[in-house]
Amino acid sequence: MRVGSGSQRRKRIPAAVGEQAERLGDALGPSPLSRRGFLKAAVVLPAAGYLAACSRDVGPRAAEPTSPAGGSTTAELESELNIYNWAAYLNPATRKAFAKAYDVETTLDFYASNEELIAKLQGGAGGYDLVAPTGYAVQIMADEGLLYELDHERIPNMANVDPRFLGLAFDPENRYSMPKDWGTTGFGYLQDFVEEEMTSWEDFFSLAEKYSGKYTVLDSSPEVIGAGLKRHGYSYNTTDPDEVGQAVDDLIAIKQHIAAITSSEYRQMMSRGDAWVSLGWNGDFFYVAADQPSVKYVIPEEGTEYWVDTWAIPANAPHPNIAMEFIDWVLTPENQGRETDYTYYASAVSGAQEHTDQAIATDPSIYPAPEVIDALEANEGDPEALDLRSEGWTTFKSA
Amino acid sequence: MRTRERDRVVAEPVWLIGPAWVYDLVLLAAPLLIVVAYAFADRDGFFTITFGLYGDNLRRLWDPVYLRIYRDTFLSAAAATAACLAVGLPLAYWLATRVRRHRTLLLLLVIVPFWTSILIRTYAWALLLRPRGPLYQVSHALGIVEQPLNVLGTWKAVVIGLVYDYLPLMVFPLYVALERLDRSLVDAAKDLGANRVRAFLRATMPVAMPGVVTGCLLVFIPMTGEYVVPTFLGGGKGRWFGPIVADQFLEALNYPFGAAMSLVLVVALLVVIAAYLRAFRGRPGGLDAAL
Repeated sequence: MRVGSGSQRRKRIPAAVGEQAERLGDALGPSPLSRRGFLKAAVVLPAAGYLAACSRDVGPRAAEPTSPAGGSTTAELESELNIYNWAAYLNPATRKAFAKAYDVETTLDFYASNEELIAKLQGGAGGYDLVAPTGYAVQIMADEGLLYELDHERIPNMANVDPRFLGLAFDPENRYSMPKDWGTTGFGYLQDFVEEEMTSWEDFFSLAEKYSGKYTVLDSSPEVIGAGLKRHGYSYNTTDPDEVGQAVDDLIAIKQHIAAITSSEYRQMMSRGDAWVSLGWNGDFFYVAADQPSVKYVIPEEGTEYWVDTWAIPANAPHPNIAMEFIDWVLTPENQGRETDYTYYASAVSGAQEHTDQAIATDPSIYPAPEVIDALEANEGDPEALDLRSEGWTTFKSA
Repeated sequence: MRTRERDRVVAEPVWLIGPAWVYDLVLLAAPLLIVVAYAFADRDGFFTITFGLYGDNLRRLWDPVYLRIYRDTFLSAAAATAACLAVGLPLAYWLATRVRRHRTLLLLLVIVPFWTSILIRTYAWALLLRPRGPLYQVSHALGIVEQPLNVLGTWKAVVIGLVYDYLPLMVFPLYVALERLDRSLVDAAKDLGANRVRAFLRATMPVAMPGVVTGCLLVFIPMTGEYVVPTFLGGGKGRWFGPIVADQFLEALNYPFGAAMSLVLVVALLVVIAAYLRAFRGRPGGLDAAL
């Protein structure tokens, strides 16, 4: 398993906060900031993000964002690409290669959750050309008119995508998004410290008391409440308040044993041996393995969610043409393989595995067996369900 | 005589106050009004917000679950403020009365941490306080503790972080107040038979009180809205107002409820501060001297 050094992952970040956080990440250990979990610090100075966004040069505008359907393939490609992404979720080598091939200047900004991305775009944050929402967030944003309609003629490499990942419920015709990669939400534990073999959500909840203070959970309501739901055999997407209430009660019962509710810190905490059991996203635990070889990722027996992250373009993107060019360019098996090398998440493009480090490509927690995949559920992003979860989440946090 | 003197004073151009007014209106009053508007708005689904006079958000806050957040935030902030005072007062006293040489340098050292981002300083504490972190290793080697520290992710870590982060805001008002202390007052108190404790309480403290009042306010108010410390040092799981209200905006996408929470905090703070200032009004060096 290859684990890059911190400095390798240094990125160009316009927002001052991002820069600080990056430096922190570099200083703090072998692994950079969590892939999907950028320090929530961005919240402290949200203005920084907006300012950074505002101060960007708008650049040539070849097509009206709202009417791309006319889709002239000759539309002028802009010379700037502003990416708004999860932290450590785009291989710097990929970015450099694209920048060089198209003579583009790229900038990076980070968000920590889909909800944050939605909130920022809905709040009017401009200047971003490319975002990476999870499926359910695509649906919410598309319904809200926050996404740019893609011109499939300009994305011929869509043909490379495994048909399983096209036409998913959140975007049935892929009008707004192209699959970036996919993964699962489960938990990882350090076998050096945990005596039992953990295989289920039931294990996750029932061992919390024994390993009190060594637990972490994500700072994200659908995933964590989903764990409680799955433990009882309920659907990840239930809208039954009683079922959600039961899941929240289970979480409150183990809250005193949880060291931290965090989407950004758990990798470092596990790497140092401060946390032993963490609810998180599969790829993240591969970073931990460099320091804690005994780390094991579990897709719980009761089932869990799989998520598909996508590339999409905000409706107000100043440089939509180059963004579409990027989406097309990145959908080749070679570029996808390099992405998986860096993010440890499975690509949705057929044949990408051959271009990935074989240790990663053959790992069942990254590329699970088909029968395991079949048992997984996707977060459908029903607004009512999400609302129910965020209410339960506030209750959990206030408990 | 007095009137004639006043006449001679050059009338200052009134418009000079303009920028301050514009600043207050645009950056303070207007945003507050937006918060108020959202607090009384109705939310139906993620993005459908109807402005009006709806009380649902405020009613929901009446739930004990949320009331506890306010209670705990206020109590913790008060405890951290008291701890700040306990550390800051001796330091300020020492700086103002005992240090003769290098005083400027020492004062500078109090501010130097402010030059580093609060994020980095707070994060540094998270590393120090780890169960088997540097603090544990040192104190373990010295035989002070046996078990790995159980501080990070608890209220103890939050208080430590808050005291550290806000100490300069406490020390400076205290220092400014104590610098005015006339040593002869203390000497006189002693001459008149007061022991050291009594002399401190009766001669020194009245002079220090404006600093105490100001320092406590400067520290307490921002603490109630603190985000970084409870998130990093408290493990993001304590009942602290800041992170929970941030969640309403960024995770729950519930602006009206988040606005209602903020509004109630503002009102609660006004009540607490009014009561606090009232308690000190009329005392030597009370409200008037403080503000």
